[in-house]
Amino acid sequence: MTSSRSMPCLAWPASFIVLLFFSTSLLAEAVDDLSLEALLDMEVTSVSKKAQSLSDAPAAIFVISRDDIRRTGARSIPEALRLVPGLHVGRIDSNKWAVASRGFNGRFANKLLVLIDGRTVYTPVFSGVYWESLNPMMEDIERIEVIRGPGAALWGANAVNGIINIITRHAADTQGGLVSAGAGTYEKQFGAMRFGTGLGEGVYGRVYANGFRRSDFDLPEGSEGGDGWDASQFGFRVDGRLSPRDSFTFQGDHGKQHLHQHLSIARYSPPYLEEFIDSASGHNANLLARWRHTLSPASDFVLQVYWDQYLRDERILRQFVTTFDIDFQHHFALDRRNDLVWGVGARFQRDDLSGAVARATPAAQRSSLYSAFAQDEITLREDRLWLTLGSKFEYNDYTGLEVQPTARLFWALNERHKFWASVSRAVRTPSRVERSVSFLNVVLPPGETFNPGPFPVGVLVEGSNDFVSEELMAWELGYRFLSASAFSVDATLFYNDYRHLRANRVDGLTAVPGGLEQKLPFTNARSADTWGAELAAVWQGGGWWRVDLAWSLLKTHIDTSAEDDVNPQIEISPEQQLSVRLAMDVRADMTLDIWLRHVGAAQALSAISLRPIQLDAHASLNLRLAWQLDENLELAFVVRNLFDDGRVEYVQESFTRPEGVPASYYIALRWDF
Amino acid sequence: MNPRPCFLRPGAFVGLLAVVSGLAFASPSFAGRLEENTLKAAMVLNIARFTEWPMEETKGDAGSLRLCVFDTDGGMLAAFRELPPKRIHERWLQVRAVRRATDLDACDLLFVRDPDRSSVSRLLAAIGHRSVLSIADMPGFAEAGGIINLVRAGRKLRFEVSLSAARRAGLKISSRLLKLATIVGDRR
Repeated sequence: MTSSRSMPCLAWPASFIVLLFFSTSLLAEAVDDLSLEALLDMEVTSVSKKAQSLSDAPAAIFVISRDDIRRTGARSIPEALRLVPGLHVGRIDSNKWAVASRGFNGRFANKLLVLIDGRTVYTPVFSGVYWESLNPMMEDIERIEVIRGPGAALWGANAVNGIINIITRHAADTQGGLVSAGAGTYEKQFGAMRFGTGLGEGVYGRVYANGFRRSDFDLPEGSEGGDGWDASQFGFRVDGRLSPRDSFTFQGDHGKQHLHQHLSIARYSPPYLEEFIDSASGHNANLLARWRHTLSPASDFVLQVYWDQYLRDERILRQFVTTFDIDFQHHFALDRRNDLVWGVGARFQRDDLSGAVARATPAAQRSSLYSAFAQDEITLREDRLWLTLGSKFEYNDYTGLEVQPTARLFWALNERHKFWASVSRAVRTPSRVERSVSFLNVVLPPGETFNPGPFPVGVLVEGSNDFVSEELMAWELGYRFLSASAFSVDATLFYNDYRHLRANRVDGLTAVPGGLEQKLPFTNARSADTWGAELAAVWQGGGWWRVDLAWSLLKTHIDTSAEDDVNPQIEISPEQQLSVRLAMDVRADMTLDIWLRHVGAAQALSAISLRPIQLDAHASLNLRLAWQLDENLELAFVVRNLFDDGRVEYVQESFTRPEGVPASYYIALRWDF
Repeated sequence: MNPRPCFLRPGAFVGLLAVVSGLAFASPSFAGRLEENTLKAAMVLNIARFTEWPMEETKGDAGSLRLCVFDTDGGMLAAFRELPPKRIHERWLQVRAVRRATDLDACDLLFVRDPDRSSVSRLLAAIGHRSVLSIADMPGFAEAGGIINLVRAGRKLRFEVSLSAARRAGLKISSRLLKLATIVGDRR
């Protein structure tokens, strides 16, 4: 189960890649000497240049491009996120993922801010994301920007360990039609359609529809997991300009998911777990409008409003949450040295919670959040040295005012070597569950290790009004390098110091029908520190191949020694992860992508198995081969998790049993017209 | 959990290598194909060769032609930087990364890559009617007031020229270039 055993596996692919480099001669053409007529006659290769290291952002930023999404064959956002160093993506079952940046992963991981086109998609109920409810058309995603580390000064609460910013394409870039459809073993059927057209002078629009059916995963014994699902989503986006100085975006989506899950719910009578297949459903809808006004070359402002609603109905909990959000942001250059951006915002949410397992008191609640921020980018030496100072101020109903400052320094030694450093404070404000929801997590059978007494003891995890924000102080160092031709590196070192992390304390033991109930309210008794390194490198050859490498190291120390901390389990994210992707144009009309990943051993929480689950280190291989049948028609064949069939990647903290991720393949056809 | 066997054994590896190299070496020549950003960068240079700047508008060092690149993804900037030193109209081409719309003072050319279109208005407002050849690779650039837009047509590249925008900037674009271009906006 250790990484020492599976690392040699990666030695083979590594030598394979090295061999490939030496077996090819780089095409060094004097392109700049070609005539315009000759250039117009040239065709573009499908492996395009990527240069993360050119970024002048004083933060650990990684961009997943449209090309990356297409060429990995990713059919969901978490799948694409596996490209990012410092992120851990664990598949729990057919319709659940655990995604975290720099540790503390879990299905209910809570330290990430996730946005789609400027709209927050983490739920206030547990501060995490229902990844299965995010089903935009993968083909129309422009890029996914991932910032590891705190970005709270600009983005606000919950941007503790990272920000995932999913940006769909501008409507002007999606003119015309696109139909894609496919079928396979896990991806049973899927299809997507988009049509974009001009709507007037400078105004563009598109509509899309997207749907799929995915099959069950397997329980480790080999039986079906009962977790197959299907989902559909449709939506529109209109982008346009009203004047040379005014542009707007108006967009909306509606999505629906039918989910199945194998639930294991605690009860007071033997066998103390009730197992059944739950049919759950999700509905979500949103509308967003954004207006950008340019005041001068040095100044513009953006006003954005959105409305978002979701209904998620499952046996554990039924949630109906409505959000209305308004944000104003003004950017201006004060003088040649100071580039300022400031903003104010307000968010109003209403939730309505009910369910057989989790109980919310009160069942319905309104909440509001007011925020303001300011940031100054100060040029200390032109084109060389910048200092960014900023802070966010947020006022929330639970903990009042939260201040989240940051200081960042960026130094470009020259065009090849760039350095940055930062220190920031960020908080994660309490979620609804942590304040006012309780649920029976597990019932300890009598006469066993954890409960030697004669009565079954139910463990009731309980929200608490004493629960306050979790805090982080983060220090980061970064280095970016770009070689003369085709090699670039982006490296980051970080140290995170967490205070007031969530734990549980022992409260009263009371008699209930069928046994005893042990209350475990949430407290902020835990602290932790993590440090690590992340590396992203790109090596580009002759325009027809590219290697992307992502490596991450994470050391986690969680201090559970506080008297108030009874939680016996801790989560430990993989210490090392490696992703190597080779993208090639093997022929003029054919592309091949080989993607190898190694994920170190991890430890996940599991209430129902009473002890943490050890997850083995593993390696996996994905392949994608695509033919361009003609200019507008592409046929792709994708294989996933080859040689790694049935591996348990991750488990949910409560309510479900481990399931293995099957090896799978699919065939897809894409037609642009 | 049972340990699983090494997923890529030497045998599988050799097989894979054979398949890949088979595909690669049996493939038709890659001549006539270029990486997209590299091709675009080469086109920008050619377009500059067929553009005439008014004499008095020579900025910065008299001996250099300044190409400012505003690129939110970095691919174009990398492509421009990889080009060997070039002379256009007897002036050395100087590539400069631009981070802010207020940094355009000394530019003769401006390349914009901004898929979100969040900075286009400010960049074009900053140029105003000065003699800066603005080039982008995004639909709608001409309507926003830009001069040249590179467009993908299947696997090849084409370009659009807005004559009115060029005239406002006081730039003369050679007829040889216009013959190859799609003219957008009014033709007067």
